Amino acid sequence: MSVIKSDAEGYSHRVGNEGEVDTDSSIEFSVENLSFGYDSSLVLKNINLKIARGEFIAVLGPSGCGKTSLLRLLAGLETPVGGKILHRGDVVTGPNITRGVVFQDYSLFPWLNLRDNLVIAINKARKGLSKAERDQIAEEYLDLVGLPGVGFKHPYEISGGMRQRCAIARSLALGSPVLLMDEPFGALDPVNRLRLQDLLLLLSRNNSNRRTIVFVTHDVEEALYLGDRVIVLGSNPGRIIAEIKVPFEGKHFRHDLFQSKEFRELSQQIAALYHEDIERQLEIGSVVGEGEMI
Amino acid sequence: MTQQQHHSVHHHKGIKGFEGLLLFVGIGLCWQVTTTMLPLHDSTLYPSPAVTFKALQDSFPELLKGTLSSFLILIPGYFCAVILGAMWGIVAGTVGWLHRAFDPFAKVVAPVPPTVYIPYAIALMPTFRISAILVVFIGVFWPVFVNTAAGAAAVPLRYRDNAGILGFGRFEYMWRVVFPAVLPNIFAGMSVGLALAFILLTVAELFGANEGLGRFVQYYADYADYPRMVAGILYTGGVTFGSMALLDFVKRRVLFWVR
Repeated sequence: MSVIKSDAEGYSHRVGNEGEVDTDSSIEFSVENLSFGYDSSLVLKNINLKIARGEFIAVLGPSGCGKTSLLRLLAGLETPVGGKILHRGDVVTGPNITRGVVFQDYSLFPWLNLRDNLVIAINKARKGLSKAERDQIAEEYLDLVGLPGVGFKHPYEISGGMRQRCAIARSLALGSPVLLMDEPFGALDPVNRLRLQDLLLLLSRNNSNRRTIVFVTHDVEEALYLGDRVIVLGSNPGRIIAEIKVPFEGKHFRHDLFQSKEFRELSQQIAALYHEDIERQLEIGSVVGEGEMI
Repeated sequence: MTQQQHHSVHHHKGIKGFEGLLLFVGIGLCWQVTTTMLPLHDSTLYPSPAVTFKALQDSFPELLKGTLSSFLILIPGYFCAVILGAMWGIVAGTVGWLHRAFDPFAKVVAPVPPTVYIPYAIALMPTFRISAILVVFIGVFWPVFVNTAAGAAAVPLRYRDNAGILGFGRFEYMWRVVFPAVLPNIFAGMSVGLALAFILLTVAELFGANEGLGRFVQYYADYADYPRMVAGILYTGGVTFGSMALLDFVKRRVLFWVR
């Protein structure tokens, strides 16, 4: 089993199928000694990470471990306090349309209907289209994510699951080679959650020109089901405590996969890592508590 | 079953509408009773409903003409103030250093009651109409500007994030994100501004107009024609209410997405 525990510095450099991805043109993100935080308290400390093009990375961690901060840093929505992020060789200094983001539940503008929310993105991706052409493309994207014929509706009129489908459609319409997703299915009911996971797998794998996806979640099974590689973050300060190459390539039939011994063992192993970190946090908390008592 | 439910809903609505009318009916009855059954009924200062409505009917053409004159002041003053206040509010609220430059100034100047500008505006401007437009403009500009700038300075992070991801430049951000996001603030400023505009308009007309709603009331008060004066007050109240209701209607249509 390829669970790689990193050293005390949180330094780990292993990527996917080692050797194949270490040339520059195949690397999407290169995160170097990244630190992030406010004043004295660091949210993320010395993160080192390479993400290959076309790779599906699941970032897993308990709440407060800085996984959302990591995603926002990759998007360029936050500025690091130390280290840097290279996207295809260029330092990330701000957001742009090469990196699409799907947030938990606020990716759409509430004053625009679904079609116009997509048209904004289409306008950015391709210039010089007529209004009819843009509307047509928007409807095609809505079709693709399973929302046919609802382009006239506004975000407040539809369910959370439909909003996230539309948010995914917007990212696709933007044509970004990178898709960053911040617990995009976290607010959904279990059935919609599974449906959208399958939709995402379908869209990300059945494509010759695969997008690079970074998917933040706190659900171990979601991470293992979706990711090619799982990055486990520990908290206080946020750092990489493990990288796991998911060994279930081409085996994505949910039921069989979830029943398999391998899958269960791996998810238990990750859950154990998770709990170790949480227990450590609790210990620190209790020591501080006793100190305060005295 | 459904029929019955519908029926009960309507019934309920009917009762609610009735409650809203209670005070109008009560005050109207009081007015009627005190003017016809008490000894003060022949006082010219306190005309009965019948006399007042006769006066309203008689002076209706004059009131309509006055309304037109008043609206020729109100509309240009109000809409110039709304457009400039909203535009400048968006820019000043979005651009950091402009916000820091304008905020202290607005805090000092905005609370000055605009009525104090009226005499100077009349002295300064060539015609009464232009001076009254100026006063209405000043009165409406500040509430719209202050509300819009506050909203623009506090545009929710989620909208800014999305604008960044979509690669919006500064102008596109202001037009496509800040403007719709602060529409609730703009309308809040417009409501305050409209009430203020009517006050300023009528006060200005008391000072120096030849026609208009405020002038109508002042004129008949001077000649002690109180039925017409009271009719003028009621009519002005009706016009103000109608304008506010229209603004409210537009606001609800435009802000359909605000939950």
